[in-house]
Amino acid sequence: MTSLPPPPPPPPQGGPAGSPGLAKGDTMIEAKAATKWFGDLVAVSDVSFRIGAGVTALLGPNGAGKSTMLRMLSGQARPSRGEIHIVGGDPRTDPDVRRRIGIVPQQEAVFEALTALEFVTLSARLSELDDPTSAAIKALEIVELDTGDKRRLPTYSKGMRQRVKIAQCIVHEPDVVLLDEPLTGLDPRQRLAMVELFHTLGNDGMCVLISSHVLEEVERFGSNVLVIAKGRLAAQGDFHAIRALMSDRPLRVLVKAESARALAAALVANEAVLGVRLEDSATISVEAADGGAFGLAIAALAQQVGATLIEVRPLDDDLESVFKYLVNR
Amino acid sequence: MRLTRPRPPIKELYRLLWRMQITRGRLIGLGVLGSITILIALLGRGADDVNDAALGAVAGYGLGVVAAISAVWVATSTLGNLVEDGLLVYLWTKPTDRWLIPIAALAASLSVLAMVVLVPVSIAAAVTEVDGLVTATIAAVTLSLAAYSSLFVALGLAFRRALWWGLAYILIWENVIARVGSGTARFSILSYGQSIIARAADTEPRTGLRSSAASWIVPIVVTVAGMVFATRRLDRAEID
Repeated sequence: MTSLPPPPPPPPQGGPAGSPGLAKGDTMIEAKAATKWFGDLVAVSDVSFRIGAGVTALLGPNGAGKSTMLRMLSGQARPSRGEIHIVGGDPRTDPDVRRRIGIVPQQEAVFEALTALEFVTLSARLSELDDPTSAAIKALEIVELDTGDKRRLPTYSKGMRQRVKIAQCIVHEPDVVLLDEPLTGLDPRQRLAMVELFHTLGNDGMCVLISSHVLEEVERFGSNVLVIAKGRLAAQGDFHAIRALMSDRPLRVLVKAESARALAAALVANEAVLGVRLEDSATISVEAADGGAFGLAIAALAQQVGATLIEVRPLDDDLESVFKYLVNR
Repeated sequence: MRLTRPRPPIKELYRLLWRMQITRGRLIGLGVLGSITILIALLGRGADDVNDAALGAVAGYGLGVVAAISAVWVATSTLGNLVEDGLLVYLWTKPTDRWLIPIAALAASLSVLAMVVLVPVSIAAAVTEVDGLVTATIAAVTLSLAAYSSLFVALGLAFRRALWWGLAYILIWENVIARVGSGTARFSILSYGQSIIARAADTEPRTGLRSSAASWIVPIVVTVAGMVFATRRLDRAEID
């Protein structure tokens, strides 16, 4: 486990409208030292976190333990050790908890004998909705599929089948939505629409946990991440904040300024700065030991040498940099 | 706030699993297998011992081959295919009571098997013109199909390649080992069904004659036990 601080409290957003027992900022998913092994192979080791409403990306390379973690959260797999709580209950044994979970599994298979409407209606019926057909039509409309399509699911494209899976997941308006690689097979326009949908669900108070190994995808989900590497929780929280806490790795910053040479000279003398490189007459790249101290120093130094700052931009606080750092340690 | 729980979705589960079983290839294959029983029964009408020939056609081939093999083919795949394709997750993670899943699977299997086994084997019994054989055949085939189906639905949940395990049970245990002695025959579902038919035909099967009560009770006990095992298996299973 990283030396990063313990997980922050869940974001202070409202619980789903009408959801019994949920108040603003409540923890909706909780893992307590969750561990899962298969024989000698430890897939997930001692993972603890809490998540509230909003969108969180579960990030990690292939084989890191993301799917096993999601299977434990959905109740499909029993933790070998530790505990999983979804909206306060056990998803394996408590039907009331299962009623409040929606799942998009990773596997592509769907019921070949059914149409999209039949599949989603079945999901609604199994979730014990009073009017499953109306709910299914609404869910299919949300994912932009034709509710009157009489074709069976095998005739659908991969992207259409993926959207059907998402529709069956949200048809009963669950409190917790668990999605394993949900954008697989979607074209760019559909991806954008689905990302918007996930944000809408999160803003409506659902807890949306999305597993992915595609960093570009994850950045679109927002900045809140759970990073799993080699079966362990490497970090949790806003990835910009995580980057700021990586004190053992210098922060790289691009500074654009008039009189950049004079500013570079002043920066060399500053104790928060480890290295300075003058890229051109107006651009400096800086390695800072302490991002906070550097942030405080740069304006004062610029004023001191009479340099006008044009741009100050971190070069490596994007998700990819944070991710590479965390999984390669 | 909802005061009453809605009706359990057994009908929807049944329809789903039934539709997954109905494939053209399967219906044709099993239909041909069942129809051969009628042909054998017709040929047996010219035999010296009509009752013995009727027993061979209906209890030997109809029950021992058609019913057993059709049941293993259909019932192991009812839930077994869902497990192998990763589709069980769409049923298992729902709030629905899990015992409904094997019950629906059993009902779906029996519906298919009624078409491809019960109908042709009962027609074969009628063709023999042995008094009382049709009623006994309907009872024996129904009880045996229920027991086989329940056992093989559970097997489909418990093992990958359940079809091969089921076939091994049918071919090796029921058709070889169970014929060695009455002790092993007691653990053969086939022997109980054959006993019901043999009584009607006033003859005795190779696996020995079970008591009248046992012939009815044991298949029912196996059916219930299969469903209990399948439900417990589902409750404890880890689902992909």
